[in-house]
Amino acid sequence: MKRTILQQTGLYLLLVICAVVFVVPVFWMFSSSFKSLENTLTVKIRWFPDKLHFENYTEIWGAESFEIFFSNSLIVAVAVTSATLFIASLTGYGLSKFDFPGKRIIFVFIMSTMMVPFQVIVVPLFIIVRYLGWINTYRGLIIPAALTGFGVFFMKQYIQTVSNEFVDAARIDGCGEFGIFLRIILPLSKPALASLGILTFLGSWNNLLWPLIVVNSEKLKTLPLGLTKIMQSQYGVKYNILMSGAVIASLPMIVVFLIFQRGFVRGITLGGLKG
Amino acid sequence: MKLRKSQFSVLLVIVAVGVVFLGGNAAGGGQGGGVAEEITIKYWRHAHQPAEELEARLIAEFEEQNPNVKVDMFVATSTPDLHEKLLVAFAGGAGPDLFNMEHGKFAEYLSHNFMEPIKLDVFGVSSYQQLKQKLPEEVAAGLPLWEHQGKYYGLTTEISCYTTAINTGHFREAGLDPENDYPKTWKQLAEVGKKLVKTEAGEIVRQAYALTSYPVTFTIVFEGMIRQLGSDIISPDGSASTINSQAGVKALQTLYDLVYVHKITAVPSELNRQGPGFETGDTSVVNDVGPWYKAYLENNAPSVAPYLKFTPNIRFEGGKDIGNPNYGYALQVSRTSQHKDESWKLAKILAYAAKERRDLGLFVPDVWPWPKEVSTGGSAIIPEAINDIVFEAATKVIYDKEDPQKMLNAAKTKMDKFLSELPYKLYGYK
Amino acid sequence: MVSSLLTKMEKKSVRILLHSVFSQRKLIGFLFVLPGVTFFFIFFFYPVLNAIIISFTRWDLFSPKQFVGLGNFIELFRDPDFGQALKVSCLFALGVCLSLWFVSLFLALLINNELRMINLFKTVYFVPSILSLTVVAIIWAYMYRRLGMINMLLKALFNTTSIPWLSSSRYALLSIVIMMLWSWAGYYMIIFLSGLQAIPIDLYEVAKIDGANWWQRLRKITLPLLKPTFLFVSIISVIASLQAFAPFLLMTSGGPGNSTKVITLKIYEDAFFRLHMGRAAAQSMVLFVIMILFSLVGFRLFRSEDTY
Repeated sequence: MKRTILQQTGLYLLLVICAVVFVVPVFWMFSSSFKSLENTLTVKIRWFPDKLHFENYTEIWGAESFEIFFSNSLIVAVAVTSATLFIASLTGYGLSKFDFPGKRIIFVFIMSTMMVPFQVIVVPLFIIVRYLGWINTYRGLIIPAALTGFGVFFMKQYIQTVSNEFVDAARIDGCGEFGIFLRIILPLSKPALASLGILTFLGSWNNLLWPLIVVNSEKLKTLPLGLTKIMQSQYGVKYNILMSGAVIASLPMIVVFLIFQRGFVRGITLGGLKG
Repeated sequence: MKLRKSQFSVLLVIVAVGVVFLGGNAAGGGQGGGVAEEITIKYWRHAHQPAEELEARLIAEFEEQNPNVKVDMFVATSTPDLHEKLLVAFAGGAGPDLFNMEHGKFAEYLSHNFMEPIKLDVFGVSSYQQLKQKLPEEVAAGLPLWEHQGKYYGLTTEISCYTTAINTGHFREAGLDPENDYPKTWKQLAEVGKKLVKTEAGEIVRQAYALTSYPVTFTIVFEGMIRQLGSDIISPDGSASTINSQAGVKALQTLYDLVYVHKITAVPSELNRQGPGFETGDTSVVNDVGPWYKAYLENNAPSVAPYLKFTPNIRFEGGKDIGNPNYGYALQVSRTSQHKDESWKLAKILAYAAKERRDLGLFVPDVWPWPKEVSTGGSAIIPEAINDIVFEAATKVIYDKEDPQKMLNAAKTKMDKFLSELPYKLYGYK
Repeated sequence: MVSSLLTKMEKKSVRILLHSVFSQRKLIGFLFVLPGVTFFFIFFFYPVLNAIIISFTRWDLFSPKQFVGLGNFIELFRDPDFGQALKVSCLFALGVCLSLWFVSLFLALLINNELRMINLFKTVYFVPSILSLTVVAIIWAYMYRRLGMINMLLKALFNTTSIPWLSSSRYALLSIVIMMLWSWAGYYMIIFLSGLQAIPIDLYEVAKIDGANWWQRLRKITLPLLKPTFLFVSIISVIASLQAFAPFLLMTSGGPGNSTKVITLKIYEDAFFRLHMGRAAAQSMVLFVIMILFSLVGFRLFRSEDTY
């Protein structure tokens, strides 16, 4: 598409202005995380810290227990992602490559879970988890989140595109059904698994409401809970420390995103355009 | 061949599912998988750093003296958070063994039957009279607050009230004498405030007085104001609200004027702040802090701590000469606890440290202005729902410039509804 | 080996059984689906049923449930606070959804150009979506303070007085909408981008030959063909906005007054602070119905008659 220099400049200008709007708050978070407390409260905007106060990070990691929160978030996110990938693939495979009575109903039923707001099930879910004795345990954090309708839908859509020839050939070769799943379907679904994995990990890492309800003790808090605790403290909030906590909570996902950009985008778009 | 393999596959599927479900178990396990005789006592309290440190030390002592007992202390973010967690935990039959909660919730918890009366044998006495003699005087003095039908339910760990705190450095800087020129009335605050407030480019960068944005503390401060003017938030028999009286309107109007007429206070832009800006030197006068604030500043804002001075709570000219309402916290043992003896033993150690608590400001020191403030304050007995209603009305007036009388009328309607649905009587009201 | 676990007799009877009940393939398919279905039954279907039942009771977790029929719902519709929460939630969802249409589409149109470094810009616009709403809420609450970055920047540039972003009923909800827009624009931009890139270039070429200018091409080709995308964006963004929780909890706690008290916050408070389980469940039912209504409206609005 041929464009005049003027048009090109105009476009770039718009792009840059928008970029500034998107970048500045994130930059502000990073910058403030290195400031001394006084500098977070000045009237004149200080875009950069006077010097890099790394002690903000050591304080939040140690004294404010973010080390513990970080590892909890990691444990939960990894477990939830593994469980979701495995079961969603199983279910998606069953729904896409097989035919059995009730399959339609089951599919609609699973899809309908995406329409129901979490607020509807939050109280009964809490009661079930309480009954099972899972309050304030890893189980309680991981298992209720171990599968989503979206995950099943996503894997089904993808596995549907796997050519049946592979599956039939494997059957003729005498490979057991589960073996087919493990050795043919899963490897062929790697792109979908990667995308779903990233999205699921992100969702679990950022989740606030459920951990807020389930977790009772400091030892089990996840990063969003740690941030909430500081934010809701009654006396002054030390914004520099809070910002370093926010950085710790965000940096891993930003890094993952920068590395796996394609996976993210695929995950979002495969997720539903044809929907 | 095929059939066998797929049966095997089916088995694998079932096993895999089981692994995933149990995998959740492996990553976190239950508690108490330890030595047979070991008991764990769950102790819950709200966040207050100096007190937490004191109690952690006492708990360590306790664990040493009782080697088969472990104490699991849970610190809630704030008192409302603790309240929520307690409610939910007790509802599930899994409440903590020991908890430290404020007096405002006493009536409610009693009505749900959460607590146990104090076990006299743990203290080596056989009557409450004897108990009073044995307890440190602060704890004994607080006992009546936790009394119900002749039994006592709580060991007091904190009794205090709020008063006004000023930053002496700011006063001197403005040419004022902190010893004599501290504001005794709201009118004086307005005058003194004009000299203290600092503005830059049209914004207040240092407030002379800061409004609290925390519903609980705001309501207590407001209650103090309305009582000084001869009214109260709730009528003496606890059945209806009287907040929309002239006194209520005047109280809100006073605060409003500080912001918009005298311009010594800014509209708060952060949530849940108590003593806002004082610890960073951005506020000269606050009146929602108690004696414990001194220890807090020494720990967290050592540069401001030397300038802290407590003065009597700001009064109204011609109003009653009373301080802010009192509130207290006490250790209480749950009725459903499996380890009541050990819990009371732990409570005893924690409660006996009354002198250390007094040093931390958890009990009101015997120095001016505290004795008069705390003895004239009366009790603050406001449940959370009421805090929220009062704060909502206040924010509408102060943040949104609505008419105080209208907002207070609406607040009264809401409060009356709440009171009529309350299954228990607000404690202290006949 | 497994074969030794089953005697020949057992194998034969199992085979007969399986054949007689299901064809082998069907059974396998069903078994693959079984773990997922079981999960959904326990952690979804059963809770939903429970929620419906609880919404017809008065229950505080202590005493046994008291059946009150439609009592909770009647109470809700008489309660001005609930009406307010409904209004706030709907306003919020609409505000976010409508503004996303404009902003995300605009960004997608911008990005859908072959310029150098366009990918860099795409990445930059998307990064905010990676941040959790908790982090976003915290950063913006920090910036929205009276003496925070936004006010001070505006003052430096335009000499304005500080705006009470979160301290005034008039501004609070708007401030949160702006923040959500910032957070989600990149995400929906990607979706619009996919939609844009699915439109065949030939259509544009033909239009250009016919003399259509940029704006006409947009109106006559792009927008109509983006209808499915608009539908998708609308439904997803409305569902997500109606469920938003962290910003309201952390930035305003529902205030000032009740101007940002959304239903999700009210449900949380009623359930876990006041232990009004029945009322909370009833409110969540209403929220659910609203979501369905919005989706139905969306489906109507974006009925796509065009195929290509």
